[in-house]
Formats: sequence, structure tokens, C-alpha cells
Amino acid sequence: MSTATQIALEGASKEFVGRGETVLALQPTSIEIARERFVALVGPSGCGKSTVLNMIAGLQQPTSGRVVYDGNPVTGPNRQVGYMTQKDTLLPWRSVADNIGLALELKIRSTSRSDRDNRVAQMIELVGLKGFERHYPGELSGGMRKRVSLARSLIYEPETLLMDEPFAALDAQLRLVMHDELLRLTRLRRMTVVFVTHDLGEAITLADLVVVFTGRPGRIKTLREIPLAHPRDAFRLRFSEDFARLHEELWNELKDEVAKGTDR
Amino acid sequence: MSGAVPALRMPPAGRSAGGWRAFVTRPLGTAVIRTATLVILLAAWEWMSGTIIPKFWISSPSAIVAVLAGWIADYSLFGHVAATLTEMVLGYVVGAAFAIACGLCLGLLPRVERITAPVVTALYALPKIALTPLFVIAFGIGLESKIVLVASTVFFLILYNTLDGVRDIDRDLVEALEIMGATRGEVVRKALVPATLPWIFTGLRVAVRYAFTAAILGELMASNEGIGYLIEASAGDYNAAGVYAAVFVLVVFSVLFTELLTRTEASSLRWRV
Repeated sequence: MSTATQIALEGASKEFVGRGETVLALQPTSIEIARERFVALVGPSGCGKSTVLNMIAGLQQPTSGRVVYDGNPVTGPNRQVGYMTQKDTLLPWRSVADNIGLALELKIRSTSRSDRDNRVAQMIELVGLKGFERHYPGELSGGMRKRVSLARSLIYEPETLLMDEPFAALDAQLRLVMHDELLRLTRLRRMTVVFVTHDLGEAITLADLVVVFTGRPGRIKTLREIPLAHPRDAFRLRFSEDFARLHEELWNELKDEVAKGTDR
Repeated sequence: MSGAVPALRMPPAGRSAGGWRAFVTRPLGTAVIRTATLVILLAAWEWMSGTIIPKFWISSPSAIVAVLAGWIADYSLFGHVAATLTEMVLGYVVGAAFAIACGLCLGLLPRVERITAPVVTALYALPKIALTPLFVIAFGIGLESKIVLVASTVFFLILYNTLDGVRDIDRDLVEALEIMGATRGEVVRKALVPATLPWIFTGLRVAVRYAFTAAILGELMASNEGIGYLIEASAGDYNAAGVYAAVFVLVVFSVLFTELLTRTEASSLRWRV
């Protein structure tokens, strides 16, 4: 692969201190993520997947090792990334449209009013929220809030997109539609994506590389390239033989960890 | 026996389904009954005064109206109302502006806040009314001393609300904005201020009553004009009707202020469902 490394974890680990106890969430982990790749992180709950995203976003600092972005160590909020966290961080006093357009109002992007309105309208159409532009987040369902968050992170087309189970709250049909759109958009804009999910099918559909984590304290168990050709059809892919084979293979890697996780 | 079992009783005929109840709950009905109650109470007061209880203690509605009419006729009421409102409004605006500015600054500079906390708490706990004599010495018995009293009362109330609001802000919202590339100023404008606004409004609304009370108390203690002065002066003349008339003016204004603020708040915070 000739493309340069975009994100690198160099022996990064994370410990949390709670109630006087130190808990190791992530064992020293190293991985390189190349530019324009779509990487899915899968693993049982509490294996440190979200911690990896937080460290890349610069919201948490590794206890040991370091995280390097574009050749520079990440020490504070990383402004090159768009981060769609698990908990939605919509501003409750802004309407749906104003929440989605938020990033375009900032000085570093200085977008004209009409351009912003156009892009917001497109995004609203994309995530299926037409008719809800003037609603406030408090008036929306959980799934709708997720879609607003998604639109808010996609609209400014950051070079890297970090997503923490973005589609977990959506119904199955809408999830497929969103998969298709995400594939199309991230390839079109040549984004690097790091995507956390519980859903193996979702990981295979979207990713070029699936990273399987062990249970807590997490570490990387397997890296699996997904050699399915692009452009992919999110709706039909899951009926192909390759998909079934990859699913089987990854499930074998994952099931022991999931079982371990539930034993405790 | 079966013949003796009474049939289920039907609602008595002739009394249409809840005629009286329906009348009471309708807006017009409510208004009529409210007015009627008021008229009856005033009539009872008018009758009792001088028959059961001496006029000296409770005056009478007609006497109060006469006093009010007199004050309005000789324009003296307007001067007193204007004095109280000036003290209150100026003190309130000055106190609130300083409080919001200081609250936001202290919220943004937690270290300064920690250092100043004991002093601020001590001053907050102190009943400001106790400082009135001091303010009178420093600023005289005119409007100025009352303005300072109102401002110092209002200041601490709103300062604490603003600080609580800043402390309560969801860190995740700030981080989300930072990752999007917001500058510090943009974080303040787009997250901090709007998130604190409901708290500031609560403080502002609570402070109106306190501002009014402080202005009146200041006037009661030392003044030469204002509604508080009217009460004090009437009481000095053993003029119960005058005291009641001044109190009536007070009631009218406190209701007006509360209503005004409730409406302002409702229109500016529509997102709070």
C-alpha cells in the first residue's frame, strides 16, 4: 500500500481509576491506519473500542504509548476528525437544521448563509428528516437524534470520521440505506473512517479492514482484510457467498470473546 | 323479593348534566365568580369597618379608594411610584449586568473562582438590608442609596445562578464543538451562553421580587419619596387608609413584574419542552 499512514497507535494503553481501583481498559495496542481506509473495530462490550476512538479524537490521553495523527502526536482535541460519539451531543436549544449546520457556522470554515442552507437541506434529505427541520432535539425519538448527529458530522466532510455505533438505534431498513450512503459519501470524499460496531454484518459491509478485539482488558486479536470489491451494494452484499464466508470466519474469532464477556 | 329490588337510580331529571360545574369551569364563569367573591369580600369589609372593628385599625375600601383618588388627583402618587421604580430598575439592571458578567468570567476561570469563593459566600449570606444604614451614610437618603441596596441584593442572587449554570454545562457538548474546530470564543457563544441562559433567567425572575422588596425596605428605613415612604409616612400619621392604599399600589406592581418576566422567559426558551 502506497498511501501514507493517517492514524497510528504506538503501544497505546488506557487505565481508568474509579473507586480507588485502577482498571486496565486497553492493553498496549499498536495499529496503523492508512489514509482513505475504512476500518471497523469489533469486540465485546467494554473492550476499549470507544477508548481507541476517544484517544484518536484527543479527548482521552493514553496512559502509556502514544497516538499519532498525520505524523503528529495527538495531545488535545483533534480538529482533523469528525466524531460521532455514542451519546449524542446535540445542542438542545438549536433546531434540527441549526444543529446540522453548526460546523459550517464556525470561523475555520466560513460558509455563506445560502451555501450552508443548501448543504443542510441536502443532509436533511439524506438522513430522512424532511419536515423536522424546525423541531428541537427534545422533540425527537432516539433514532432521529442519531440521524441528526450523523448529518452533523458528515456535513463538513472531515478528512477522518470516527463513529461509535452510529446506527445501533436505527431500524434495519434505514440502517441499510445509511450504509449505502456512508459508503458512497466516504469514498467520494476520500475520507478515512474508524467505525466501532457490535454488528459483524455491518463491519463486513462497510470496512476494508476489520479489527477484532478481545474482552477486557482489550487488545487486538485479529486483523482481517475485507477483499470485497468497491463499489459495494449494501443491500445485496449480504446474500453473497464471500460475505457468508467472512462472517463465519470473523464470528469464530469473536464468539469466544463474547462468551468470556458474558461469563463474568 | 325480586320485585323489591330497586332499579339502578338514574340521575335526577331536570338537572342537566353538570350545568353548574360546566359554568364554573368555563372562563367566563370563572371570571364572574371571581368578581362576585371579590365584591362580597369588599362589601363585608366595608360593612364591618366602623360597626364591628374600629375604622382606625382596618380603614374601609371606600376610604382607601378616596385616598388613592386624592393621590392621583394631586399627582403625588406618580412621583412616588417613579421614585421606587427608578431605584428598582436602575439597581436591578446594574446588579444583573455585573452579576452575569462576573458569573460567566468566574465560570470560565475556575481557579479565580476557587480563590474568591469564601468572600463571595460570606457576602451572599449577609442580609444586604443590614447594610442600608451604611449606604445611607455613603449615598444619602435619596435614590442613590436605594439603588446600591437593590443592586447588591440582585447581584449575588444572579451571580450564583449564572455560576451554577456554567458549572452544569455538559462537557461533552464543549468537546464536540472543539473537535469541530470551534475557537474558545465560539465555544462560549454557541455552547456556554445558551446553556447558561435558562439559569440566568431563573435568577433574573427570582431577583425581581427581591429588587422590589429591597427598594421598599430601603425606603421604609430612610427616604423622602417612594411607595415605601408613603407607607411609612401614612403609618406615622396613623392613617390606615393611606397604608392600605400604598400596599395596593405595591401589589399591582409586583404582579405586573412577575407576569412580564414569565412571558419573556416563555418566548425566549421555546426549546425547553
